[in-house]
Amino acid sequence: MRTAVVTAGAVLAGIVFTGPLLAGPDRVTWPANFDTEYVLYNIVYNGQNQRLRMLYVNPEADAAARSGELAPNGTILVMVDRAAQLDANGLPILDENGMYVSEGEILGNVFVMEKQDGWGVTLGLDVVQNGDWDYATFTVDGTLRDNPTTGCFACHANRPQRDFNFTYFKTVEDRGS
Amino acid sequence: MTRLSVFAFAVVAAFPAAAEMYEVTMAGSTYSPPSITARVGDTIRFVNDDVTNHQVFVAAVGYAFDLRNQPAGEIREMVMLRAGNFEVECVVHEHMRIAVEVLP
Repeated sequence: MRTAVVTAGAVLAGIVFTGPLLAGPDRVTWPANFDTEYVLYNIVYNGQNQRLRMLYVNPEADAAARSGELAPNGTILVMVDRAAQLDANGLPILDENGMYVSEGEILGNVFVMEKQDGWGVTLGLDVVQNGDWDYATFTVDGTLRDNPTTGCFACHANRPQRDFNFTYFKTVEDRGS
Repeated sequence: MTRLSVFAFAVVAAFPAAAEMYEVTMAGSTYSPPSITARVGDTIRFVNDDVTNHQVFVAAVGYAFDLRNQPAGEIREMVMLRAGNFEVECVVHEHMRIAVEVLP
């Protein structure tokens, strides 16, 4: 009986303490080959530095996403910067579909936000909870950077009505599927 | 001190003759006017006459742009590049919106 109680206690302690220890960027997936295998769902022109924010989502999640609903469990959103192609007047060039045109390699880091059931509850970080989303910053070769993610949480907390993201929820909503 | 983005200067060179300028203010964390009808090549000038930072942002696919953190007193501008309808937001203040219609 005593052994059972001790064992149960140990298991409970493990559950309680494992959550917070696992919280944070370490548990966020490195989205290998995102630029060829993920869906490029939006491009945002930064008028201050003439860069493009290229925004990707994993195809499985995108296929399951529905207008007006929270992003499905397992959604991975990726954000990287590339230079915008500019015309002679310094304005961004658009392609035949009206989309901005990028050039060159990724500039800077690869920013990832991932959603998994229960992550918000076990977060254990001193941040504003963003549903079940967590954040990480990687180098372009997939090395996790030791960047604090508190800024990610703080900024994305400004869009609680869009599942804590600025573009993906709206993109799904606008396409109506 | 008021500071124009480099991007703003491209506007004059790109659309020297027919382009119009529309000014939007932000006092009280409210965009004014609440809607704009412009034409391709026109510019919207965002004047932060508020006492707090704002960040002009459009999320709509095909129109998306971000003028980044804009402290009080600063001005940012964006040229309308293609026809259509979209909503201008503020990253920091979810309730701030402008409906923009861009005609060909």
